This record gives sequence, C-alpha cells and structure tokens, in this order.
Amino acid sequence: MNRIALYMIIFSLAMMSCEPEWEEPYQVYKINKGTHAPLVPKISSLQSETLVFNAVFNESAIYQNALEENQQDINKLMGFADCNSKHHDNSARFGWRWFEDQLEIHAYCYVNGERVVAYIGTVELNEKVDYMLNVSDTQYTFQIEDEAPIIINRGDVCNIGVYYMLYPYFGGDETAPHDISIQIRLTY
Amino acid sequence: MKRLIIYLLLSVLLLITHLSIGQQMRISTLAEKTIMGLQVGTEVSYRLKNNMTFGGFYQRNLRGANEINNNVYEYTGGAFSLAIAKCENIMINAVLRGGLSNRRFVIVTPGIDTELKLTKILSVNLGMSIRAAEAAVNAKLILSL
Repeated sequence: MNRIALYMIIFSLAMMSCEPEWEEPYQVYKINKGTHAPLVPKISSLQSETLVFNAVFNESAIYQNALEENQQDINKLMGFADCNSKHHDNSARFGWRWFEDQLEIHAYCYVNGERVVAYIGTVELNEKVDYMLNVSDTQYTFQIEDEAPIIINRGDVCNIGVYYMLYPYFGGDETAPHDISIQIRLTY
Repeated sequence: MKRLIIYLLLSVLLLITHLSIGQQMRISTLAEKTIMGLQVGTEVSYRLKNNMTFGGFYQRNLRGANEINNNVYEYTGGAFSLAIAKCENIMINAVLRGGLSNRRFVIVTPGIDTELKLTKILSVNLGMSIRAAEAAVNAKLILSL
C-alpha cells in the first residue's frame, strides 16, 4: 500500500514538473566561396513591427578581401524591404564586416533610394547575440544586446503592404573568399 | 427596429443565395500552431456547389501562449480553398489564405487540409500551411448552416 502511495506521489510530482522550454533550432546560412548568398533562397515576409533574432558568427566570418578598399564594404545579415518597396529603394537590415580584427555590426538602410549606414557595435565570434529591429511609422530602431539603440528615419513609404524579408548576403562588390556560415534563429 | 430589418434582409438574402446557387454558409472555430505560438480564431465562409470555398477569418495568439516574448500576432484576411480530391466523407483541399498580420503586414499562407464530415452540419478539418517560411498545423471545427 505504501509503495502504491509512493508511486502515486512520484507520478504526481512528475506530472507537475515544468514542461521544458521549446527552443527553435538555429538555421545555418552557408555562403559558399565565390558566391554572395546561400544557394537556396528563402522567401518570407515580415509579420510584425519588430524583427527579433539571435545570431552566431564563427571563425568563417574572418575574411580578407582581394582589394584592400573592399574590406570596408558591409555584408548583410538580416532585415526587410520596407512597405511595397524594393530593397534598394527602402529597406532596413543589420550589416556586418570583419574590419580591423573585429566583427562590426552596422545598421544598413536604404531611405528613398539613398544608402544610410550607422555603426552599432562589435560582437564576439561564437557568441549568441540578440538583434532587434523595429519599424515604426517614422523610423527604424536597431539594437544589439544592451548597446544603445540606433535610430534611422524611414522614407516616404506606405504602412500597409508587403515587407519582404532579406537574408544573409556577402558583399559588397566581392564574393565570399571562402565558405562563410552564420547561425540565425528568429524569435517571435 | 432598424437593426431587425437589416438582420431580416440579410437572412432572406442568404436564403435566396442558398436556394438559388447552392451556396452553403459555414462557420468555423480554428486553432493553429504556428512559429508565433498557438493562435485561435474564427472563419466565416461560403462553399459553392463545385466545392470551392471562400470566406474571411480572424485569428490571434492566445494571451500567454507565446512563451518567448508574449508578442501577439493578429492575422485577419480572406481564405480560398479548392477541393482536389474527394472520397465519401473525406475531402482534401488546397488552401490559400492571405491578409494582414498585425493590421499592417501583408502575408500569404498557402496550405493543404483534410476535411472529415461527421454529420450533415458538422465537420472537422486538419491542415498544414506555411507561415513565415515555417510549417504550421491547424484544426478547425466547421458548422454548416
């Protein structure tokens, strides 16, 4: 009888235990040597005002461009084209580059066809970093981890429409000098 | 009184369309597990004689169901489905839903579902779709009027 009671208590405790938190797996975006973007393009669109994701760069993010001046070019991480616009007209993305022995993260936007770039901060290799990009009626807000947010004004675009997503892209002018892998996990 | 007249007119209109071209009005409650968490909602639709269905829907997260950041994603819009196979009480439909997420972002979610007719007026529907480039599964309880 005591054993049955013990089993019942153990079973009850097991049933009361917390369900393990489900975490979406990271998706690996691999840019092969000599290309700009992953082989299989992904098609999606923004679902809400805030794009939140977590990304991890590894040693493959260390690269040397063939031309010295191209080292300043900014590669694209993730973002979206603004309302019913092409991404070279109105868009907001996080950009990155390996520059002066560190991985820099930038805000990279097109506003009414004009490119607007702003430095956000640096991140460590092999570390999970949270990225947040918000679009309001008048501005984009970029933030990584606890760094100060960077605000860039939006162009003259609509509010209701298609905001197609933009995924990792290497360049710039040059293609990837070697295979580059970036792990990204979108958070909703 | 005015409201009553409107309701009566709508009822008559529905009855006429039902009798004249064989439309069937359907009301559904739905639950969908998406990448944004569990969403619940409702759908009102018409089914034509050729098993083509069109209508409108509204769904949103259950508050607290999105464990990660408690964001709420409303999704409202139109739905169109076409029967691609039918066998007795089971029907397989190709579905295209589109509309606004959070009243601002135009999205399209293609899918496929299987409908099982339980009684003359009650059906259940299990389906899969693609939402934000990820798979979503849904279930619907449909009441045919």
